[in-house]
Amino acid sequence: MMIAVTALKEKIRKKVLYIVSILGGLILALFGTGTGSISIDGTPVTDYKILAPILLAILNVISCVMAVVLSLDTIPNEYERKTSHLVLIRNVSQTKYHAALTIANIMAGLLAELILFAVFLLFMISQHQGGDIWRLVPAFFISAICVVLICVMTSWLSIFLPRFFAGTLSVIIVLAGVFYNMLELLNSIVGGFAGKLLKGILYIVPDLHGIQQQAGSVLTDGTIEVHLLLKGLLWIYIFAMLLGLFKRKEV
Amino acid sequence: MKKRLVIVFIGIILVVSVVLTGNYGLSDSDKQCYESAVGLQENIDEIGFKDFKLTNYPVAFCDGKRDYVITSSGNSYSIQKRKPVLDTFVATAFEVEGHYEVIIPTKELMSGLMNVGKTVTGDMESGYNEDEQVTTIWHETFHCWQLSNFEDNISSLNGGHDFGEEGYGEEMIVKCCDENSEVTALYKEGAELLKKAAEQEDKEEIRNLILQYKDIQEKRNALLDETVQKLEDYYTSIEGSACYVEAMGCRYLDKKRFEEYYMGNINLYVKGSSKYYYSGMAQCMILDNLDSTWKTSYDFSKPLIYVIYEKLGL
Amino acid sequence: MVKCKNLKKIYGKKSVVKNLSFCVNDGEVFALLGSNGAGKTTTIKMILGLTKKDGGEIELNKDIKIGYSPDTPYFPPFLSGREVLFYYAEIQKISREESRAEITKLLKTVGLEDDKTKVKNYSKGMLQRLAFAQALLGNPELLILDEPTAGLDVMGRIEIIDLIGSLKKAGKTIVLNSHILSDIEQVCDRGIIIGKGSVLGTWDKNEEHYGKSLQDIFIEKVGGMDE
Repeated sequence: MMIAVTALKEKIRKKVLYIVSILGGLILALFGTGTGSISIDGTPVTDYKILAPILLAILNVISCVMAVVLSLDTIPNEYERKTSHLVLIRNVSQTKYHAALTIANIMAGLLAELILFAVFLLFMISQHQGGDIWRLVPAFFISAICVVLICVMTSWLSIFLPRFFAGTLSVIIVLAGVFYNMLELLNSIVGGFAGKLLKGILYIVPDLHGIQQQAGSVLTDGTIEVHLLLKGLLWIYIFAMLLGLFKRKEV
Repeated sequence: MKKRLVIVFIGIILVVSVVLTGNYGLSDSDKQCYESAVGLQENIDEIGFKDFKLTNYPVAFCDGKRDYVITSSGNSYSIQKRKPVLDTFVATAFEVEGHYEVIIPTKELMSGLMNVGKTVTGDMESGYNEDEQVTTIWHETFHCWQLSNFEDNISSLNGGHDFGEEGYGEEMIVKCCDENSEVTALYKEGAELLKKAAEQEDKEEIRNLILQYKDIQEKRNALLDETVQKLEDYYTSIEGSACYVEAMGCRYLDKKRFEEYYMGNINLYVKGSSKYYYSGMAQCMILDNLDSTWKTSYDFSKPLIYVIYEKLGL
Repeated sequence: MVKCKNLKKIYGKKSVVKNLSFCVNDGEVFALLGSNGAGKTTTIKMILGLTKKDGGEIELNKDIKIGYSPDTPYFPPFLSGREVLFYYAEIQKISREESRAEITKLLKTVGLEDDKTKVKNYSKGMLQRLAFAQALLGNPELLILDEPTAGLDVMGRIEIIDLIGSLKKAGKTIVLNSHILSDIEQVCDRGIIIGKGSVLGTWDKNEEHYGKSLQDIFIEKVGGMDE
């Protein structure tokens, strides 16, 4: 726990968390306050029930990208600075060490998400939805599944891949997950090799879009598909297992 | 050891929960669409196409991974899974083992397609709804009925050409009609006349309008190759009549949408074949105003417009 | 205390440690002497279990506690020296009460009594001393010090050498990895000269080397190899 807390403290002291959170918050504020606008078929969207899930989707994308940024460096930095040596010689296994650093990543990711949700809270108040503020709590926890998933996945990739590849691959997976419904659709339209390739991609990419949609449903009093949330949790479990299985040969 | 067991146990619980909560068959939403479509049979019967029954044709919902084929018998229906017969995402009437079937993507997939380009969330209210899925089923069922009963007539209607080849017909329409400004202008003029005639109940007035239309059409045909004319006749009569059935279904389900979408687009001009769906639909409506029994004898051996000319003695 | 026999380590196709054998006795300061890239750090990492050996044997006393001070120590810059030691004490599962007293004592030993200064304000010498202190946590029997005086100014070096001297007096067994000959001559009892992963020669403070200094021996062995 000490390792996780110290790694988190280090992240909290870094500017990247705040810069990205503020940027994300600004984007949300831009759309939420009408300074920017979201249009469908040329008509600006002003209805809260339509706008809220869209803003939440944007928030989710920013949170996931932030989760990648915040998780990418933690484990490689420890090995580069050789702080790992002083931990690993104290009878701490690599598995426990990586797990502790991943917990720090998760906590930082959730903190960033919390900042973005605070902006969303302001948007709700501006839309006179104060009575529904409590809905943000379950929406936060549902969105948190995506953030945790990406943190664990990026942490795992960063164990054995060079930083650039781990980051690029994580962002690709985030984008594929966020546009999962589009990929499903493409998979139905496209045949042949491309279709098979897409089908394969759909198997190895978590459905972040599905999870985020459930958070949107909570906000707008829609129905929740528990199956998609459980699938998200299963993905976290799978990545956590992989995190435990993969070890660095050289420390 | 105890820790490991707990971890394995959590994994098992998660896998079992995912499996148990998953929907591995045809969704309730699609079942409901099918049931709604069957429930519309009495209203469709009123339109008057002889022996045109939805339950005579299997309806296969495709989710990209599997086809869920619904076959009716009596008041019940059964669903069977199979490998998709088409490897692309399309609503169509397709021959499977000697009979025609309606092949239609699941509502979820159709919604996704309709929402592409609109939003990344796929959660918009402007999306594809159940009524649209129901009327699409009826559209394709009508094609099954046409092909099952009048395949030879349809073949002679299009002059024996194979327009079914991917993109061939569309390409020809765009090249020969849409890219020719004179042909396009005449089409638009004719479409306006058809619209007025479809909205007119006075037969004499309809006659005057159709007379003008005939004149325009003759000028237009003089500019077109015979193959293109055949292609237009094919789209207008085959797709137009299916669109008419679809519109009638919509009128029973959602009159507001019928007025806005079908009647509002009756004189639609767009590049490609879609415009003929609406002009064909207009011709069916004109025929309804002239003689509501036309459907009992129409066998797709000649274009709809010829039937109108005959009814008006032109 | 430590017995290494025919140690081997290969990275890809390159053999960085070849049949390296040596023995470190209880209570002595043992030097691993060699130029940069000779294989000293790899040998230390194998002893510490940080890297797998590709051959040979390492024998360590049963349940031995090892303290390690790295060549370029890095500690979270926002922590104070005391907090850093608490951090490692917690990882080492030393109880809070025990560690509190021990840390105060260690900070005094390494001359870092001002425990409010954050690591980010530490000089290189202070960092090295803090690294010593964390290595001494839990009172280890064996201390492995990797280039403890590298990059330090004269005063810093003197402080560290004095510190090693006092630890030796306290009866610690120390493995010192260095390429600074004067430091080794000053504090070490014995040592081996490593070159290209092999033992090129040995050195014992108590033995007569035919009037040759450590520097002469080193040049003879390493220079000879380079030729």
